[in-house]
Amino acid sequence: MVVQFQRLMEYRYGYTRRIKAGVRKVNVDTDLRLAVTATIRKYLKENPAQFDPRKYLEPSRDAMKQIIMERYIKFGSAGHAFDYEPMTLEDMKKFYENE
Amino acid sequence: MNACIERYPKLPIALHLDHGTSVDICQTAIHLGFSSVMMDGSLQEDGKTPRDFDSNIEITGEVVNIAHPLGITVEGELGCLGGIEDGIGSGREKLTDPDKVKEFVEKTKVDALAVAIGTSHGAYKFKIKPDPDKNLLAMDIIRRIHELCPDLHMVMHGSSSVPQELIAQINKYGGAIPETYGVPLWLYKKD
Repeated sequence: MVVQFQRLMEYRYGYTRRIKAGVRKVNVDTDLRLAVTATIRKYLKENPAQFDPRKYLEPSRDAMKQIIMERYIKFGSAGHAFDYEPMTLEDMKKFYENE
Repeated sequence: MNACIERYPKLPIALHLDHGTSVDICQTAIHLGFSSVMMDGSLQEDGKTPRDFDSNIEITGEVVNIAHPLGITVEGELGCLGGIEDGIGSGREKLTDPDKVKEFVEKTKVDALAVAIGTSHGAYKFKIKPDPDKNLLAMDIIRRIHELCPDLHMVMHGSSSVPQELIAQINKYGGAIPETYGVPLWLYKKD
């Protein structure tokens, strides 16, 4: 689980100059694990009769989503998904063949 | 994932294996449909003991030779991260040497490279609160690598911020996480 696992190659031509120092992926999965645990602990404490993972996993999923949205904004990748034409594995094969 | 790609064909998305510790693991991931793999050749197969430079080049290059003909991208790692909480990391830091990066990238043909600049995996990164006036991470290594290899995609592992409000919430509701700090978000403003 990483915040930014967009296809790396798409950056090669379009995005290279826009990220100053050359870092294109930042792994922040511990923050998501902390969010899940914090939410489950709170939920189960406040709802001690609850036993259904489908119930207590719902708010923990929302908490993860919140962190992910915040990081996308912070790292400047929010709203840029459609700047790149997706490449299929077939496209990528051709790319490597020509390299 | 396939349903997602079908439903949102314009979405650029990849399924990436984090910290593959052997050629076999990377190969299994590729067969399962991963479109990108990491071969962490900075460590040996136990995920703890550092691997030497030449052996890293050899094993990472082997994965690239398997992956690229199938259109799969590969991330490598040079230098060792600290931290052992999630089973990956040497427990001591061995920062990336910028002068070796070019040779590594040219010989292996990796698409992306994880660099060690002082971060570590897990929640226990720093015992004292990071000081904005002190260099927490070796950002000079990032800048130097970027000068030497301007087209290289770098990856920062172990970069969670470890939000204090989440630690507080865990401890309020029965957890016992000792004082710990992550990579603060203000760090990203500087560079």
